[in-house]
Amino acid sequence: MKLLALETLQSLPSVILPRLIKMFSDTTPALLDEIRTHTQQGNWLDMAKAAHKLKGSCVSLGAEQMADICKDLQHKGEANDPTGVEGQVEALAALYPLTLNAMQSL
Amino acid sequence: MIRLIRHNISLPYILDGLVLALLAGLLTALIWFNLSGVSSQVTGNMEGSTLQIQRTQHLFAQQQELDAKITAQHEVFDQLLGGLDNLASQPDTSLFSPRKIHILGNTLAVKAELLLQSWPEELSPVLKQAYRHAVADVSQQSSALATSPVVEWGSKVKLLHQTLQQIHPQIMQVDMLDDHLGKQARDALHATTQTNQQNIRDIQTSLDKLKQGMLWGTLAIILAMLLSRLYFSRRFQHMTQNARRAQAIAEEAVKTKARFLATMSHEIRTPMNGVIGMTRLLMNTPMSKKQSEFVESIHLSGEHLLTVINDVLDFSKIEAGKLDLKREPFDLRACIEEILNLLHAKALEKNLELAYTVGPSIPVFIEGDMVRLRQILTNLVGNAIKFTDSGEITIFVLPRSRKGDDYELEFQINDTGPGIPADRLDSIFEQFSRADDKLVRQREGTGLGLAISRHLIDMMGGRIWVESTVGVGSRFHFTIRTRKAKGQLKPFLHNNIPAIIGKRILIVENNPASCQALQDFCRGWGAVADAVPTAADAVSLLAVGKPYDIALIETNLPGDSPLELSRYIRSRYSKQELSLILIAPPNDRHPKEVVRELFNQYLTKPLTRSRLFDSLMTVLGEASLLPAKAPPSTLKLGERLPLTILLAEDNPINQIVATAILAELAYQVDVAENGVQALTALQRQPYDVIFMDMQMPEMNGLEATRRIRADFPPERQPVIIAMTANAMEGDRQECLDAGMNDYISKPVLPEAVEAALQRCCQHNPNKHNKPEYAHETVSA
Repeated sequence: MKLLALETLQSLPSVILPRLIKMFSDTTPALLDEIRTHTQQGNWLDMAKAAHKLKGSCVSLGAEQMADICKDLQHKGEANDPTGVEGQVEALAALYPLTLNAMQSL
Repeated sequence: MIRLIRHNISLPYILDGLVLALLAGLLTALIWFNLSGVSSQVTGNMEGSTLQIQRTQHLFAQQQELDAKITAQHEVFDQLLGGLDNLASQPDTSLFSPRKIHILGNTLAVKAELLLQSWPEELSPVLKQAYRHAVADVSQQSSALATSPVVEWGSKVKLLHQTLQQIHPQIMQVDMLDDHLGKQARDALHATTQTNQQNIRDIQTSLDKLKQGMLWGTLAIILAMLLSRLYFSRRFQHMTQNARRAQAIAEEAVKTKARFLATMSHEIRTPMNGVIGMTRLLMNTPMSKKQSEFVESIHLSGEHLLTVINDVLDFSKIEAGKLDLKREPFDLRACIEEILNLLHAKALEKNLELAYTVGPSIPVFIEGDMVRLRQILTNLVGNAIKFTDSGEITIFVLPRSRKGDDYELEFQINDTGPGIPADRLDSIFEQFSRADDKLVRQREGTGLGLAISRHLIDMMGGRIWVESTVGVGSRFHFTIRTRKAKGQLKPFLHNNIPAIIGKRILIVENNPASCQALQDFCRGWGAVADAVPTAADAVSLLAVGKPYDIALIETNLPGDSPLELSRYIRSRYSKQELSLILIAPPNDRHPKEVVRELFNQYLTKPLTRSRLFDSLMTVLGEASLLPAKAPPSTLKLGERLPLTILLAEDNPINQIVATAILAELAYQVDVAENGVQALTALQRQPYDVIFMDMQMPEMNGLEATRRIRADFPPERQPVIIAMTANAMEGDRQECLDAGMNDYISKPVLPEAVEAALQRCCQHNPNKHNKPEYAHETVSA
């Protein structure tokens, strides 16, 4: 699975790309914090909602690896299943700067 | 700065070299002179010794000769003395007579003379003189004895005997002469030995001195060398550090510059995209002609500026070493076709022909960075179009070499433009260099395109060069190294299509490149293709009764040839018997109604495999050979199919994505943040279509859909298209069960949106009725 699916980004109108990337960089840290906080507090449904929200952004911008983790987190949150959630949250947080960098270097 | 450092470094290098050479020279000279001295001394000694030995040898020889002569005269002297004694004692019976005494006296004189001749000059001259006189007396007296009467013999013998007795001491002294010479020889020999020993001692001393001198000299030179090395190595170290620092500073400066450019380009791109986007939206609003012209001008300028920025961004990325090429499989022919599609409109403005041929042995899928290859080709073909006012642009791709699955491909981009002066050919690939500045000024461009292409080609393991003749045209060549790759073949990429195998196709095309491409494509699908360049040639073939199923006719045949040829064909064959396809640009010069009457199909330029395939399959599939379809509309979907659209989506990024995609299709969209807002908006005004996100706060898409289907009258019912990233079968069914009409998965792609709108609305003119079927379009 690719860090960044270029074909997704290339299919988008080029005029909106910079704005989208900026929005991604503006909104993602807060969503990551939200996911982390809900995870620490065991608010699994809220964590699932935040993961879903981030997943939407990631999917639209071709951030496949992040989207995949968000999808897992969402499903685990909806199922009240905390197994491996913390590790996945950290993996997600680690992927974010790499993904953003890949987007910005386009 | 680098040059200055190089200069500074080269000076100590020279000095270091000079010092080393000087010390080595000094060492050599020292050895040379010392050895020369010793050699001269040895030579001198050897010569002196030789002379001394020769002299000794001479003395020995002289002594031996003298010894023999002394012995000889002594023997005669003894005989004479003995004879006289005998004669004196026995005058009557003696064996010796006065006559014999006389002979012995003469013999003594002869022997004495021989002795005197060998007498060394320096040796006892007094003795020599006395001896000479004594021998003369003896000789004289012996002569007198011989001639004297017998009576006098006694007195004369006595006298002679007395004389002999008197000179006897002299004879004894003479006997010792050779001893003297022998002593001289011994002395000389001794002196020679002494001299030789002295010489050896002298040489020994000289060699000892030389050894010591060499030792000290070598030590001194080694020390000097060490000092020199130490000094210069420090200098070098210092300078290398300086050079490294300078290099690091320079590299950092280049990177900073590149980063700055990249950042700036990025920062400029963002508002520029806004300007262009807004301008595009503005162009869709009612404006006066003058306003439209102004806005069009802003739009073009914006697009141009964006191109410039993108070039600068690419160039700065290359300079900063941040540009990485991908190695992914892609379809080379599709890549070229995309470029031709993209640039066709510009070529059409000048009525330029665009054609391409890819060598049949080149694999369909190759490995590489398609985006960057497309960039290179777009640049070269774009330039060709830019500078060519009439004629054609052709692209050839040839296999240059092959080793297993590795290929080196050569691309040729030919144009019939004004050509490039010979003195500019070498510099044309440098940044900010263009062939004809005056010409270029009228035609835009950053001057970076070719430089970027050259860098990209370098990175692809190839090279680029150009051949050009002023007034005739240019041919850009470039090579890349690639590998055969595997990929999913589209239908038209397969060989031997059952529907086409054995079909007889006549190609009437006067452009050699297009003609070759058409033949390659048709034969690849299994057709039997004949190609001719003129209508007359085609008529000749048809006149002799050669049967064809399809004829592909190029619209640019001279004069009315295409129509005349098609009329000739129609006079003999119906549309069912022989399908005619006109290969023409969207703005074809021929009257459309005439074309529709005569031809089965338009094949719109630029010529691509997929279009040709579609055309062939269409005419082959149309048993009844319906009237030819009108050329595809250039209007956007929103202009052909106006709709009011509501987007229900909470994610701001997805809002922008969907809004922008719909804007590209010429739709303006209202946005609702959640299901509640969507219901409120629908209560406020009717919408033809709602793109509905499934999962939203407050009210999700499923619930909102249920409410809409339940609460709103049939005439207010919109088409509802779900958008979700869940992409699971259960979700799809859930959407349909809730009353949605269609379903697209995220990421939302333009093709998927367009397809969904066309499906839902074109097939359901009464958009307010709930459609009977539902679709799924998976974008990714």
